[in-house]
Amino acid sequence: MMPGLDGFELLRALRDDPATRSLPIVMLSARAGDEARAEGLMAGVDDYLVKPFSARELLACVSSRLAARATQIGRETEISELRKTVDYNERFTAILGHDLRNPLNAIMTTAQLLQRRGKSPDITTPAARIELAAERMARMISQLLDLARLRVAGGLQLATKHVDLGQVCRQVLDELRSAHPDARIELATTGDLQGRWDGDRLAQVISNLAGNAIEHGTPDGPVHVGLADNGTAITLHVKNPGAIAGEVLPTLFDPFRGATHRHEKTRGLGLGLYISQQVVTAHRGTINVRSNAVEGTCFEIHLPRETA
Amino acid sequence: MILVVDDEVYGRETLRDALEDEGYRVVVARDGETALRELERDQPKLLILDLVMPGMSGNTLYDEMQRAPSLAKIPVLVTTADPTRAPLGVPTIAKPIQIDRLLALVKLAVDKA
Repeated sequence: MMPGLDGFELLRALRDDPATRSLPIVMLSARAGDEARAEGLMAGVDDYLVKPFSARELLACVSSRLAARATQIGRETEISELRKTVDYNERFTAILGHDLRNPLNAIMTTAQLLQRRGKSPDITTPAARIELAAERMARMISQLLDLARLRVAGGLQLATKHVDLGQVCRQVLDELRSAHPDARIELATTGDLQGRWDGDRLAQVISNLAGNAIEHGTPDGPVHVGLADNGTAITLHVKNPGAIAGEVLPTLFDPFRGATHRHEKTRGLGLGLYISQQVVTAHRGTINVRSNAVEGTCFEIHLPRETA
Repeated sequence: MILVVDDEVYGRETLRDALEDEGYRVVVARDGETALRELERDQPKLLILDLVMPGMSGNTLYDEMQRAPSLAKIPVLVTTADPTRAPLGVPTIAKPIQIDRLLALVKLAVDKA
């Protein structure tokens, strides 16, 4: 109790002002009892001391509040530094992705021009290799950009429209066949495969799964892609005879998996399956994998026809 | 004549080479302002337009063209790393560019004109 502004009014004013909102406040009052103490704590004091109190009690209270405040300030600084770093990294990835693409585009088109102009394999074969390597880099950049977008937006933004998944699938598999002329890719479809989806994103998923199956499967084993009409949903299978090592399975969909399990076959950033999973989840679907030496590997996607 | 607008020099010069190999006459510009001056000087049969450029962007140039009756009728083919930026309804080729695909679209546009 004080003349003029009373303790509670002052407390409210201090808590309303952003500059003093986190200031530790110890209330000293002659009002004893649970109710008075609860009222003070509810109003936002950190401690409530009842008069008469001992000097030792007050000093202990002040020093513990000051220590807690110091810890809190340290934590806030750390969080704001971390936030700046995360923000910086995301901008960095996005800008780098865009700026890297322009010279890469020049490399790829120039390699294509060399193949068009070249009359002999002495020229066209190395030019084709330049293009393939640049293509791989372009895929990695796309994935990094997807990842940056995912983290900034907190999820994938879909552009849904009426799509025939069978048609999307055939187009993707045709592209893969021309990139891997030796691979055996079989497609089986049943029923009505139409729905409202983001066709480009689903093409990315099919290309990722079937591409993995070609690259990581047994060299002569066929890749089976199946699309089945399941009423309100579509089921997509991608199977190949190769098995995924048991210790890799639990973290298969984690981003940057490739960075921790570096082996010769790892050619990407380990982002493809992570992004595929995000695309499927954004469509309110599910993606699962089974893999063993007997049955080989099977990715199964369950995709509702309507995303909304 | 085909006008190619891109701020990235090597990509631009490669497109010029590929188009000249097919027998087209090609003029290049490195930004929107230069392109606009070229457009007003000599009307091309087709404009191949990059979007993200310092200074006047491809999108701004496209909007300017749509406001000028003499320029609005020039066919445009957009090349961009981010096709979501392309103006609605304009034929678009994603970067990295597939030259075969680009030449096919160029032929289609020029034949139609």
